[in-house]
Amino acid sequence: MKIAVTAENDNGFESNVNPHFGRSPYFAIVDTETEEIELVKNEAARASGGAGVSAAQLISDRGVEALISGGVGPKAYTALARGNIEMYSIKDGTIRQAVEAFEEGSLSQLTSPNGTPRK
Amino acid sequence: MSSLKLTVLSGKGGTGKTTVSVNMALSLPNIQLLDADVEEPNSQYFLHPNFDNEEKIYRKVPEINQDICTACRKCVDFCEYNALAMMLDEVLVFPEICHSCGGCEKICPVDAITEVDRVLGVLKHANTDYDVDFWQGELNIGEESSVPVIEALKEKADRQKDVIIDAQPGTTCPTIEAVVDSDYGILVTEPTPFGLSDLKIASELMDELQIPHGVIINRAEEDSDYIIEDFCEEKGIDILLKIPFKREFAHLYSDGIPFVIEYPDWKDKFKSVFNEIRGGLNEENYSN
Amino acid sequence: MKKITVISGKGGTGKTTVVANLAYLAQDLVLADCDVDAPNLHLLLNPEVNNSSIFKSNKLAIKDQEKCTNCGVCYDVCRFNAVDPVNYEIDEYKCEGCGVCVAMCPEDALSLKLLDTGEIYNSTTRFGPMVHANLKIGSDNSGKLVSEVREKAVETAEEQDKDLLLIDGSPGIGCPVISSITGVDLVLFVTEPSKSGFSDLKRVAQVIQHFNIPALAVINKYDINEKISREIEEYLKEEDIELVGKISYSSDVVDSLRNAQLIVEQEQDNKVSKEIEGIWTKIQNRISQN
Repeated sequence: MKIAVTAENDNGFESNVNPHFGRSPYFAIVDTETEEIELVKNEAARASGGAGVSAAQLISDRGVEALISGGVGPKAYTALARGNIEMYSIKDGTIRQAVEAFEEGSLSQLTSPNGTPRK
Repeated sequence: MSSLKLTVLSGKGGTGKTTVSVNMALSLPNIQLLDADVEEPNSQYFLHPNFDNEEKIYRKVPEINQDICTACRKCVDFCEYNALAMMLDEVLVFPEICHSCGGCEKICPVDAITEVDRVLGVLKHANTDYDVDFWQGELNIGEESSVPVIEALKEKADRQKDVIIDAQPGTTCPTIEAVVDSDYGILVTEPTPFGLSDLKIASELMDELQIPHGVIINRAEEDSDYIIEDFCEEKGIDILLKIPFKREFAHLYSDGIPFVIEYPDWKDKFKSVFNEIRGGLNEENYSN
Repeated sequence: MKKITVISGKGGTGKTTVVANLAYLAQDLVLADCDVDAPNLHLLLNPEVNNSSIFKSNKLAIKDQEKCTNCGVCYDVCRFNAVDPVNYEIDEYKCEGCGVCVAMCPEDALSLKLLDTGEIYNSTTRFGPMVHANLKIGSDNSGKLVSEVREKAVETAEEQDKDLLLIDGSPGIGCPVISSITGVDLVLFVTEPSKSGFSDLKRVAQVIQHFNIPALAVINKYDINEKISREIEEYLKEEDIELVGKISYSSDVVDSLRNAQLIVEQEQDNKVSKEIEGIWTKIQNRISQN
């Protein structure tokens, strides 16, 4: 399956996890079957408002089924939930660590928006 | 004499805009005060209004008929504000960030979008104790755009009266909306480097909008006034009045008491300022 | 690295003065002035600008006069009264860049252009790096520029391994103030004992309460009205906001401000310096607790 991890920089699996979703500089899109990774620049971060909504649209359009991030604001949360995209929480680390934790099943799911919501 | 509409503004918050608006309003007969600082309207703490009339202000937000919607995504792609998203072929609306431009409704090829009302804010009216006709605008918490509330507030201007508009501090759109069709702008400042810096910005705005304006120095002090006076002289801006720094004035302000109530001599001063402004504008009209 | 934003709701309570004086006491930190509409912090800290970048965010509808046939459709569809009904010119202050006129124009005469909305500066003060900005007059302050200033400041703090980021927050209760506090560890309210100041404190506290960020407060000019000061103290207790200090209203502060100086740096021992030093100590204690 395809999963997305919020990333601070563009360094493949060694990129650092970014704590926020909407304005995260990059998303690491990982295919858990083929282990392929693509670092996608988050165009939603440029938005004046609704960055979270736009970011949710971006990853949904790429067929992502699960998101790993530090936090997701209320509007993004609604959008992702309606898109049946599962949300998992991680504090920090690298993309590699995030994907491994996800595959182990050791990440906890986000059941409500947390982190810092913005308009 | 035709009625005068003037706006009190300042580049910076806390310089004394409301102090000037309220005290001036209390010094004049036949006056209306409009509080256009709709995020945090403060005149009410000085006028103690008994609100007798309330008008909700609405804006339009989209509603999607999912049965008609073909999931073509034109609306999502059109929206500049990310207020729409499409998840699993269903269009979601986020009304808080919608700017009510009406574009999605127009662009939908199958007429699946209608617009519905959403409360943006409210206008409240009172005939206050002090014989001031008072309207206050309030923006609901969580709403972004003050401008439609301010537009609606300005419609309440009674042209049989002189009108004072208390604007939002700063120089962004809500302030511009409050001053743009006024006859005159009073820029309130304080004699500090902060006051000067923000006065320069406000003055630049007034030049751009081509609205005649003058300055009132609040918390004036002999040792510091030059900070503002030098700038005003250089730019040819009139200093209409200086309200001295007095601890007593600060205390009265904190208790919500307009100082002209305790010091009625000041009413004459505010009246003179107002008449001076009116006179100056009439002269200009005759010479044009 | 700890991030603290100082906000007030109402303008003029002394937020910027408090930030500048705390910067002196901290001695080595990163500063951000998120009051992009009317920035004041630079007046007290005299930053030296190292580089600047143009910030673009607002869009404006631009007309190609050659294609325009004066049909007036743009005027009909504009919700913001941004089109002149006589000459169909676009008012740059009123235009919100929504794109409806662009989509509806039968002659394709309109397009949306990204505008220069402001400028961001990366500077150095004697206490450390400072990020600040100017919003162009008449620009819509959506909070995006505030976000950028804050994010650049965080980046700088991480790059230069600084322990503290102090943010002079936006006034008001809207998007800009929310953008000032996103992701910070502590919020410090600076309030004043007046009816309007107290009311604005309650409003801004209400707006940010669901962000769950620990909050502290300072009552500035508290002796202007000790009765209202006490009411504010009650309120803070109820809301679980720690009062970390009260600052007296003194002519020493006014003198310092007039000369753009920091009161805590003045030679003579004065009450206000001690009060601010006490506040800094309490803030440090709270930071190390969290």
